[in-house]
Amino acid sequence: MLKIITQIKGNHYMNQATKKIAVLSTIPVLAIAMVAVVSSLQASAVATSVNSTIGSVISVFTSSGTVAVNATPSAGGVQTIANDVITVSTNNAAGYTLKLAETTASSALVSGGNSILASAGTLAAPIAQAVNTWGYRVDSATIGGFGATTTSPVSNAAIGAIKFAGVPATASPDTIKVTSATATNDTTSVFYGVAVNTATPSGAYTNSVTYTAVTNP
Amino acid sequence: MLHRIYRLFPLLVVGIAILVLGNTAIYAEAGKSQVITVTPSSTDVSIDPGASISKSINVINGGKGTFAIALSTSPYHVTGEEYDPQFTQLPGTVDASEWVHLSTKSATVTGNNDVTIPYTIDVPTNAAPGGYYAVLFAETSTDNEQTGVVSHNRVGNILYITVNGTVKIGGNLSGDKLPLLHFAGPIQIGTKVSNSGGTHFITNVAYTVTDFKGNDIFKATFDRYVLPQTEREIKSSFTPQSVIGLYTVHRTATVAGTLETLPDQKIFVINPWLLIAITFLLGILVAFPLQRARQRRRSRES
Repeated sequence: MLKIITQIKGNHYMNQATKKIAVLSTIPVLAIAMVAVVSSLQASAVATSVNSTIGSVISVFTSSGTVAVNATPSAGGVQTIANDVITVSTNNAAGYTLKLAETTASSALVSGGNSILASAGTLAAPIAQAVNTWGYRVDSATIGGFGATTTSPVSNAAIGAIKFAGVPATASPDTIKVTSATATNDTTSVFYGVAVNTATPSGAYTNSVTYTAVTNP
Repeated sequence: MLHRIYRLFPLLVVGIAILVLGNTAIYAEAGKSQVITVTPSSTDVSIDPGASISKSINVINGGKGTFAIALSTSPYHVTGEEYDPQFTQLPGTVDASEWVHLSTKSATVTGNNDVTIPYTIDVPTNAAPGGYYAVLFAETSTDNEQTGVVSHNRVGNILYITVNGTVKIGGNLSGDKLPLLHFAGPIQIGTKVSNSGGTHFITNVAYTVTDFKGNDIFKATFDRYVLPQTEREIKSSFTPQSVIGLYTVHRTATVAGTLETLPDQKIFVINPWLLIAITFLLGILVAFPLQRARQRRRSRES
């Protein structure tokens, strides 16, 4: 009798142990399943990515394409100053550099066989205009030796002390603007001055200049 | 009468707006402005010696009128720490612009339109590994009918060409000493990154300014090309907001892929007016006891 009771109790304990083992064994299975589900979810989340490459651009335009620096000379000499506005835009984070040079080999304003010579001044050492010369300047305390004097366009005025430089040759352009960040419609005024007296023959004089804009490295 | 003026006021405003905007439009139309854009503005490629790569440049006419463009290539190098670009060949170097072959040297672009110009970069088989540089220009055409100073607009696409192979890389980071005492205005922070190698690398420069508690109050980062055998100065400026403060400037930069750090620098900032006020107060504090002592001496003598 006692044996039977012991056997029943033993079976009872056996059943309980089996149940515990069964329950416990499901835990790692469930854990593995959860890990698998999470991993699959993660894998699908990683699979979606958005990439965008923004191209680099630079643009330049001038206000008119031609600057009329007309003058009616007097015996003592007159000076006319007119300006061109160059607008540059770029999305380059390092900014841009703007340069100015002659388009062709000629540095003079030419009308047939007549010419108005380029100013002897340079970017580093600009000079007041001599009679029968032409040149350019930018109002800047940091670019060359022009200084930050505010230049105003004038027509047939007395020749002033304002400093001008000759437009450099094609191969060695002058740097007239340097920036260090992206730019949207950033403007630079370039002033052209002509100083003439009655020794200069009348006519329509022309010279071509090139503005070059490149992004900084 | 007053009511009538009030009623007519909106009409007056609209009328002025039409007049002003209308005039602007006429002015823009009348001008011969040529808006030229190129994209990309720089191209970085790696090519094996003897190999070719095909690329293209897009030239956009942002104006209304049609213009002709001339395409050309030039050598490219920089001068000085400010990196002033030059479109000439450095003596003793290879002219990489001769490797660039344009499909055409001229094109016509109608208003608000663009053209794509394909080109190839053909690297000679005997080209040594390293960095080579050129620039591809697109320039607006000449109008021979115009007089005065006729302007042409030219924009460039800088070509950074790396010829694959074993090439020396290296460089150095340096920086000027910052002022210990600063009174007013922005503080200029700069570093110089040099490249002693045979090809370019991009440096990542980071400036951080912390206050005496260690809190970041200014941060600036820059990614800049450093061309071989050059030194480039990369500047930034920080304007202190407080009238008095002790700041620490941290400067780091990657040089040929390695992070380098300059020693931290302390800057004591004091507003000049505050300095004058402190000096005045100190003067009073010193002068007052002296005056009293002198008075006592006089009274004793008398």
